[in-house]
Amino acid sequence: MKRINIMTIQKIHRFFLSISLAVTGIFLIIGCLMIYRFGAGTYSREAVADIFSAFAFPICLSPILAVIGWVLDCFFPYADKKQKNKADTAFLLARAYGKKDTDAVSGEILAERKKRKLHTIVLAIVLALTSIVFLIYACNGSNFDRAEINASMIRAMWVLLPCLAVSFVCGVFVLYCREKSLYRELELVRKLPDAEKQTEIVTKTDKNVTAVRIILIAAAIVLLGIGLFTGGAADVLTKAINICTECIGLG
Amino acid sequence: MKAFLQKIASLRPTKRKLMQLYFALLFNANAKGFVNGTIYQGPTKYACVPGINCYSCPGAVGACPLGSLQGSFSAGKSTMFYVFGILLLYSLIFGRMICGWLCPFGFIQELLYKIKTPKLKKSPVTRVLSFLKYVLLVFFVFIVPIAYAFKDTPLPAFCKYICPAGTLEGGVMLLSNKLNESYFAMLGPLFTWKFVLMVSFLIGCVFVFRLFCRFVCPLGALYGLFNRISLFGVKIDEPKCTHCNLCVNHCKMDIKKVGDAECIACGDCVSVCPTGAIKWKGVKQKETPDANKKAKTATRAVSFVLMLAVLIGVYAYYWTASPDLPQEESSGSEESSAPDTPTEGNQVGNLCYQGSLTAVGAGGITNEKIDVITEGKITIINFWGTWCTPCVGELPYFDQIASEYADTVSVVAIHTNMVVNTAGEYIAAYYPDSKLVFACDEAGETYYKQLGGRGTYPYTVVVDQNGVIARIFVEALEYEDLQEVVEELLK
Repeated sequence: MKRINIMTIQKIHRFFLSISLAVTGIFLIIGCLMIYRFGAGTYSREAVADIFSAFAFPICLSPILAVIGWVLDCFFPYADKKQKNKADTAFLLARAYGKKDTDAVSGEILAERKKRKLHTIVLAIVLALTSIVFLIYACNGSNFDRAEINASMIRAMWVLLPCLAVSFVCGVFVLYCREKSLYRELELVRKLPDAEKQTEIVTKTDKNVTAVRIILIAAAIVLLGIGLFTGGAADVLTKAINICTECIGLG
Repeated sequence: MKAFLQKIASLRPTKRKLMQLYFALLFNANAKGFVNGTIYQGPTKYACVPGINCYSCPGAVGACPLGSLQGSFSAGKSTMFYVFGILLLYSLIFGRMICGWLCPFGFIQELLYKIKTPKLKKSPVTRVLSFLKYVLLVFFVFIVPIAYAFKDTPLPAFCKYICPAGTLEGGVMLLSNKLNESYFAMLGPLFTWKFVLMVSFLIGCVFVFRLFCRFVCPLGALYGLFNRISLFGVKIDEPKCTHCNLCVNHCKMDIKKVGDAECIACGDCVSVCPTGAIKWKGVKQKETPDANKKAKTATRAVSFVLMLAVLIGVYAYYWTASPDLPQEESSGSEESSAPDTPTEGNQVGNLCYQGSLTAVGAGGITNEKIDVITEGKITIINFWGTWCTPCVGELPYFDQIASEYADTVSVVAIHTNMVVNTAGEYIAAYYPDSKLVFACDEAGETYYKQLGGRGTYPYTVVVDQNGVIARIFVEALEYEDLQEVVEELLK
């Protein structure tokens, strides 16, 4: 009973800490937007101090709650829910096939495989289409106006973001469907009769890795050498020792 | 009490956490920068550090590899070779182990994740989201900087529009120093956007493990491509592996397999593996790890002392190597016995220092010397660089003012002392017949510092007809801003 109470306290504390952090974040963002909006884009040390002092309570509350959380955790350790250990379905499937008579593969199994193939093809088509649309836009130099850089970037986002959204939705959908299909196939394979002779699971080994590694390291050293001897490092230094204010978001 | 002590003992930082802290301190060893509110300008910035660490951070002692990569496209072939060589070498030696062990921003994210709140676990959604960083790598680090490099406009798009490490380490750190109060004048929509993004990332990192690294970081994406062939990292001993998937399920990153492109080689999986199938790459495995405990402890102690000594030495070096802040030039009216005759200085109301600089033409540096201040005329002194996007962006407005007010205004554009060869090419391409006077300071950036420059570009000083400083701008200007100042001074 006592244990449950402590866990409840921990849970309540975590809930309030999360809320407090979220509120802190929202206040910081609102504060910044308020200075920008009402100060018509003019920031000053005083304006920042004024706005953020109004939000001082949640901003101070979060670190206090965080410290309380650590102290609480020291006395009454909170057992986090661990990620369920789920074996790799693809490997389980390969192992299941190793024990079964593969000649007895049913139509249902073949249908599942076809489904997965179809999902992959659909995903590939969507990815290809979105990539083509975006690359056509990106490869057109006139879309990147020298005089209006920010406006050009916003226009590019109007093309990039929808492409990304479509790809993301499609990707998540295919991933879920693929996993479900693999499970269904696994169940079906388990029902197959056992084979007389077990086939071995082939594991891929990395050959030629060392050769590729050596070639690439040599290439890297050559590139570095050429860059160094032709004065490439000077440009890096120039960029690094001077503050380009726009590059760090100052304006 | 016993449980409490055990818990305290378990809070002892791991070897990886200590390494992360060590490298975060090492890469930001210029402690004087935090005091002065300036950045380090010494020779160690020739080299890129392996992780994301903004070079505009007052403490940074090396260049950021991502910023250098974006800047290299507009700088020329040799810079591209140099930066690609460094990045390839880092990738091949460490792979994404850099993210797990050396990256200061990764360390900040892990510290934030330590805050005790409910956490968002990995799922197929996060797995798909992890591909976002490749899109960002291609678009913001390659396509946009290259597209603008063809137009002679350097644009580090990722740094400018996204990088929260730059906003936090560069922007906020510089702004938080009272000596940089003038920087507030240049804040606008871009800072608002980047601040909102930074706060979102930092708060998000409390709930999601390494939010930035997993979904956004283009440098991690680049290193991840070489994870399988890197010299160091973790690998699976296939014959020993039982495919129980404990390692993958225990890992907080979106890995599909230990050592793949998402793996940051943190080594958490090594202790979880029931068959000991996960091993460190590039490290000789010992058969009897407990055989010589005393020797092991001694080695650890020596390494610790050595590393600490190196860190202290590095801090001492940068403290002495960084120049002290120049004494602020006080306004003439306070010191001078005659208030009507201002003294020389770098504040508004002071007499501006006369500079004798070398003229730069379409062919590069010339032998001609020019006086910056023209008596009887308004002088606009603009410090710029071909590598600086806002500087290049505002130059047409200076050109317009120089031609429209040719009789009354002299505009001197002083290029940052390095890479003036590119300046010559740039002038030849865009301002061959301009009324702008182009110059460079061959004695380093003496004149820039004399006029109160603190390492930020663009920097503009407007001097009136009597040689007195009328306005100082630490921001990019529009035509209207310049016109307003000129009209005011002409009245």
